Amino acid sequence: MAAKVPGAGADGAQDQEEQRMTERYDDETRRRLEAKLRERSINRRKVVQGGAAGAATVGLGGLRTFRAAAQDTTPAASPDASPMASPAASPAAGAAPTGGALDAEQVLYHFVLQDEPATFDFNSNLYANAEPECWAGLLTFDPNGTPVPDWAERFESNAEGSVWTFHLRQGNTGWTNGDPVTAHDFVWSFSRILDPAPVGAAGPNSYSFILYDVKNAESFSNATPVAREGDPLNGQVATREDLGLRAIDDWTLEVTLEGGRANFAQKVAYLACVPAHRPSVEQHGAEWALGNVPLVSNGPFKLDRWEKGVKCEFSKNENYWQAEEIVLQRVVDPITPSSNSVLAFEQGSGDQRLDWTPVAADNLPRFQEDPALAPLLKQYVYPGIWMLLPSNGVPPFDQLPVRQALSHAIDRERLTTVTNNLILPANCMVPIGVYGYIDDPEITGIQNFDPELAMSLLEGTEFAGGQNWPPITVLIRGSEEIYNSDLMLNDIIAQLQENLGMAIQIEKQTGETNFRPRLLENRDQLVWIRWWYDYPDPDNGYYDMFYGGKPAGSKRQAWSNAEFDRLCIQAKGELDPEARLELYKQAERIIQEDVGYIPVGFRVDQYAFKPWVQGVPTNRQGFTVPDGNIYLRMFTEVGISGRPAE
Amino acid sequence: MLRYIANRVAWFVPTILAIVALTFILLKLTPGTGIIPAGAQQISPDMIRRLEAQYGLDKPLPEQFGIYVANAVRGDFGESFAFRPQTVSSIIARTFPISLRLGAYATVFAVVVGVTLGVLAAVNQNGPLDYVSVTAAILFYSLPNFVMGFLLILLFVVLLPGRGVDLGFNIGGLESWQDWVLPTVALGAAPLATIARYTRSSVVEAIRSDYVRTARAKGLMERRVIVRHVLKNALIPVITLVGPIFAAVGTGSFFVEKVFNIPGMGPFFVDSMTAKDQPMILAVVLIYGIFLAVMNLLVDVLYGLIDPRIRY
Amino acid sequence: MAQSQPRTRVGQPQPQPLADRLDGATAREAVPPAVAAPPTLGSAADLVAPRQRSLWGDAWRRLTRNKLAVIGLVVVVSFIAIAVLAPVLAPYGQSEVVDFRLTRTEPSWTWPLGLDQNGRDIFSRLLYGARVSLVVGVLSQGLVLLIGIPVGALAGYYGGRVDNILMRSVDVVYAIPQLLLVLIFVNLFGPGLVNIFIAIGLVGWVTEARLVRGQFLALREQEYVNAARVSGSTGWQIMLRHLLPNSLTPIIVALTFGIPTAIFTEAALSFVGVGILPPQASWGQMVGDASQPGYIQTDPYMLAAPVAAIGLTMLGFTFLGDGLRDALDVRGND
Repeated sequence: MAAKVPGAGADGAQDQEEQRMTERYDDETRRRLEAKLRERSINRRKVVQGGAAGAATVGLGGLRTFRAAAQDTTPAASPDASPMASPAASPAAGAAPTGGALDAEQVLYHFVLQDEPATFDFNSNLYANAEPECWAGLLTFDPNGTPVPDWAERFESNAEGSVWTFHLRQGNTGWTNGDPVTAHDFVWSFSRILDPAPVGAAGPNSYSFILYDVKNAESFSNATPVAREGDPLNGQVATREDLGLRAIDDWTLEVTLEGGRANFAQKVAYLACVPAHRPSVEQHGAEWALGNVPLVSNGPFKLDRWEKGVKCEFSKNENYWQAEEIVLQRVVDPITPSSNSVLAFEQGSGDQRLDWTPVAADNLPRFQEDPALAPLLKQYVYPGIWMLLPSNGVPPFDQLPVRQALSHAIDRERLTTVTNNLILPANCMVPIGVYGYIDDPEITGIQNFDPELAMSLLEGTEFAGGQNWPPITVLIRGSEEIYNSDLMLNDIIAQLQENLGMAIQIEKQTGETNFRPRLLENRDQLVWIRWWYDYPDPDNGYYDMFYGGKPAGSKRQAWSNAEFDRLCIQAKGELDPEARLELYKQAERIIQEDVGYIPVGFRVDQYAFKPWVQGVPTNRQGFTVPDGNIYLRMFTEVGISGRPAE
Repeated sequence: MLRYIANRVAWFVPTILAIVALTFILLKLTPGTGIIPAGAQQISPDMIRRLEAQYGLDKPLPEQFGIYVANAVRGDFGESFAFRPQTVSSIIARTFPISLRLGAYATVFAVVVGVTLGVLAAVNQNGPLDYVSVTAAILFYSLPNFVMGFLLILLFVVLLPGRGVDLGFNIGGLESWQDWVLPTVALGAAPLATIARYTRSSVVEAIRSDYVRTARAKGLMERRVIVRHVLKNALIPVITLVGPIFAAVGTGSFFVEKVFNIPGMGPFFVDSMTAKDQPMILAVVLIYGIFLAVMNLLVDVLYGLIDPRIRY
Repeated sequence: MAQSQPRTRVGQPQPQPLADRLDGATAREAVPPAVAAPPTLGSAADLVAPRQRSLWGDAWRRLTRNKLAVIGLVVVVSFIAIAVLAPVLAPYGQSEVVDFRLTRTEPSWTWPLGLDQNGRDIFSRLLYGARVSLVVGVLSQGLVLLIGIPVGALAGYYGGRVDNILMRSVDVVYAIPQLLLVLIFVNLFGPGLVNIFIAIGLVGWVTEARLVRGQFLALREQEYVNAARVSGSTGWQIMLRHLLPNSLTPIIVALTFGIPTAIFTEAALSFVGVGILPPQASWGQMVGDASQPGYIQTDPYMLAAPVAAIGLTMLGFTFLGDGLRDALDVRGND
C-alpha cells in the first residue's frame, strides 16, 4: 500500500470532513466488531470439546486484525464521489508483496470460476461468469470500495454533478493487441450496453439500467419516447446519437446525465461498465469472446487458453497501464464448483488447485481448530445483507402488528453463533464498511429482539398468544447453501416457532427462472433473500431494492411508501455526503417502522490463503479483500513467495 | 428378422418426434421461459419480453415447435439459455463423452467382476465363496447408486482421515485415474450384481445339462469342462446383458456424477432442468431417447440372433 | 400344490421387455421395471397359473422359510411402524432446534445419532423422514396401479388396435429416461410431498402397464377364460373376475420393488433440492444437507444416518420382494 496517495480533491475541506466522518464510523465499527468477535469467538461445543486452542486462535486472530487496523494511519479515501474529482495517482497498485523473496514463477491459482463461463463479454452480459480481471473500465474500486482511476487517469464533474469528464491515459496501447484505449471505445461500448439489439451479443444487456443516468439512455434502451417538456426530443424515441456520450478528443470523454447524480463514479467503476473491443466484435460477432478466437481485452491480464469445463489460463497484459508494477505473471482459474473449492485448496494438484478459497460453514470449524489451517484464515465483512421480506399484501402479514411481531422475534445474535460468525447482526440496509452504514441506536433499535414485545404485539389480532396461524411458507432461492442461506433460515424458523408459535415451510426455487418470477409477483408471504451490493452506495440498496415507483412486475416486494420513494430520488442528486446520509436515515426509519423489510445479517466471509500468496489487499478496517463483485484488482497486488515445489 | 429391424427403425422417427413433442409440451406448461440470466439481480419485465422475442419465444407454440424440429434436423439445437451465447451442441459435445466414458468404465467393471463372481459362485455352488458372492450381489443390487456413492465416500473418509474426501470427490477436471475409481464402482455395482446373478444361474444350469454330463463322462478334466463347455454356452445370454446395461449406465449416471462432481451430462442436465434451460433440456432428452432406442434395438436383435427361442 | 397346477409357458409378448427382465439394477436410475432379476431368463410374469386361496398360506410358509425374506419383512414392518409412530417415538420435533449452540454434535447417549448443522436431533428427523418415504412410496405406487392396471388391461385384453395405440404411447414414455421425466414433472408441478408422489406415479405406471398387458395377453387365451366368454361374461367381468386375480402375484411382487424405487426417487429429488419442502425432514434432503465436503470430512455421522436409513430400507424391500417372488412363483418348488 506504499504507493497509495490520499485523494486530493478539488474541494479539500469537504474531503477532510468526509474523512473524519468515515474514520469515526470506523472506530466505532472496530470497537464493536472487536468486542463481538471476542465474546463469540467460537460456539460452545467447540470450546467444550477441547477446542480451547481454536477459540484462542480465532480470538487472537480477530484482535490482531483489529489492532493492525487501528495502527493503519493511512487517511481513508473518500467513500463517496461527490467532490467529483479523482485521486491523482494510482489506486492501490504497486504494493510490493511482503515476506520472503519472490518466486521465479509468479503464478496464482485463482478462485473465481465456479461454473463454466458463458462468455468473456462482460460488456454485453454482467453475468458472464468469467474472469473480470481481463477487463478495465474508466474507473475501478479500491479495497475500500472507493472509485479510483483505471483507464481514466482523472475525472471531474460540474457543480451539480450532471456533466462528468473523464481524462484517459494519453497515448496508451492498452488493448492486448496494441490498440489504444480511447474515449471512442467508451462511447461505443456504453452505447452497446444500452443498445436494445447490441452487435455481437446474444440479446440486450440485462444490466443496461446501470447507465440509465446518462441523458436519453432509458429512452434509447427501452424504445420509449422521451417525456420532457421543452426538450427537442420530447415525444420521440432517442437514438444512439442522442445519448449524452461524447468523445471530445481521443482521450477525453464527456458524459451528460439526466440530472445531478452523486454516485455516477461508483456506477462507472462497476464491472458492468467495462468496454468491449469494437473491431473484434464487428469482425467475429458473439464468437469474439468465446475463447475460439484470441480475446482482445484491456485489463491487467489476458486470456491465453480456455479449456472448456476445466480451466482458463491468463498471463499479464503487458499493455496495461500498470503492467510494470504487476508482480504476477500468470493466473490459472480452474473451473471448480464452490462446494469443492476448499478441497481444491487443500488437496488440489496440477492446475486443479486453488491458492485461496472462501471457507463456508461446513469447513470453518475444522479450519479454526486445526493449528496448521487456522493461521491461513482471513475475514471480511462482505458488502451484502440477508433480510426477510414480509409481504404486506398477503395474510397474515398484511397486518402491521404481525409484521412488527415478526421483526422483534428474531434473535440476530443467535444466527452469528449458528453460522460460526459468518454473519453479523444487521439493523440497517447498508453493511458495515460501506458509505451509508447507519450506527444510530434510534434507527438500529427499531426492530430490536424482544420476544415478549413480539408476543404482546399479537394481542388484539386473531393470532393472540401465537395461535391460529394460517399455513405460512417462506420463499428462498436455491443453491445458496454456500452462503449459509439454509442454515440461517432453518434457525429463524425454529425461532419463530419458539417465539411466536409460527410453523413455517420453506419453498426453495432453484434457478432464476423459477425464483425470480415468483419474487416479482409479490404473492409470497415471506421471502428470505440476500442483496449483494453491486456498487458500494446506498442507492444500490434503497433505490434498487425497495423503490416503489418501478413498474409493476419488477418490484421485489409489495411494500411501498411515497415518502420513502421521494427520499430515494432526492438522495440520488444530493451531493453533500452528510446530507445524503441523513436522507437515507429517514428512508431507513420509514421502512423499518412499517416493517417493509427485516434486516437480519451482514454477510461475513472467511477466506483461506496459502502462505505463499503475498500482498493480498486489506481495507481500512483491516479486513482482507480478495476479488469479489466490487473490488477486482487483486492481480495487481499479489505476488508469490515460497511456493513449495510439487 | 430384417423386416423386424426395418419395422423398428421405421418407428424411430415418430417415437423420437413424440418424445420431443411431449417434452416440449411439458416445458411449455411450466411457467417462465428460462430466459432470465442466472444471477441477474435486476431485470425489468420489458427486458424479459425483449429477450423472449429475440429467441422466438413469443411465437405461437406450433410454430416454435416447427422451428425447433427444423433446426434440430439440421443439427442446430440453438443456444443454451443458461450459458448464452454458447450453443447446446458445443456443451453436449463436451459433456456427453464424459458420461459415456464413465458408463463404459462401469460396464466393463460390472461385466468383468460380475462374470468372475458369478462363475466362481456357480462352480463352488453352496460353498462359502458362493455364499459370499451371492450376498455381495444382493447387497450391491439393492442399493441405489447414489447411496452406494456416499457409502464409498464415507468408507474412504473413515479409513483415510484427511485424505478420504479428496479421493472421493472429483475436484475439477478428471485428470488422474483415481478420479474415476469410486464413480465407476458406484455406478457399476448394481449391474455387477445383476450380471453375477445371471451368470451364476446360467452356469449352474449349464453344469447340470446333458452335454456337460456327457463331457464329464468322457473323462475330461474339470477345468476343461468348465471353460470349454460350460462357460461357452452359459455366457451367451450374459453377453446380451451388456447392451442394455451400457444404455442404462450411460444415461443413468445423473446422481453418481452429481455425488462425485463429475463434469458429465448428468449434473448439467439437473442444472438445466432447474434453470429451465429449454434448448438444453430438449437436446438432452432427444439424445438420451435416441441412444436408448438404438441400444434397445441392438439388444433385441442380438438377443434374437443368439436365442433361437425368440421369434420376431 | 402349485406343482399340480397346469404350467404354461408363454412366449415373449414382445421383444422389448428384455429391459424389464434386466430389472431395476440396470435401470435403477429409471423407475425400475416391475420384476427384479429372476435367477434365470424369463420372469415371474411369464409363468402364471390360476391359483386358489390356499396358495397364500403356502406362500407364507415358503416366505418364512427364506431367511433373507424374513429379514426383509422385519425391516419393512419396522420401517412402516416407525413411519406411523414417528411423532410418538421422536424425542424432538422435526424442525425443532435442540440447542442452537450445539450444532454438529457427535452421537452420544443423549442424542443417539447426534445433532445436525442447525442443532436439530438427527434421530428425530430420521423418524419423521421415514413418514415422507412411506407416504411417497405407497401413494406413488397407488397411482401407478391406478393408471398402469387399466391401461395394461385394456391393451392386453383387447389387443389389436387398442393395444397398438396404448403400447405405442407407453413406448414413447418409456423411451425417455424415467428419472428425467420425473424431474420434468416436478419442475412442472413444483416441489412438495404431494407433487413428488404424483410425478413419480405419473412416470412409473408405464412399467406396470407393460407387466399387466403381458399377463392379460397370456391369460386371455386360457381355457377358463374362454369358458367364461362362452358363458356370456362381458369383457369387464372377465377382466375383473378372472384375469386380474390371476395376475395379482406379479403385481404384488412388482409393488414390492416399486415402493423402494419411489422412496429412492424421492430421496434423489430431495437430494438435488427439488423434493420435499424443508424444514420437513426427508432422508434425501438430509443426505443433501450433510453431503457438503466439509461436513463429510468432520461430521460423517450426519451423512451416515440418512444414507444407512435409505440403504437399509432398500435392502429390506428387495429381500422381501425377492422372497415374495420366490414364494409366489411356481418355479419356487423346483
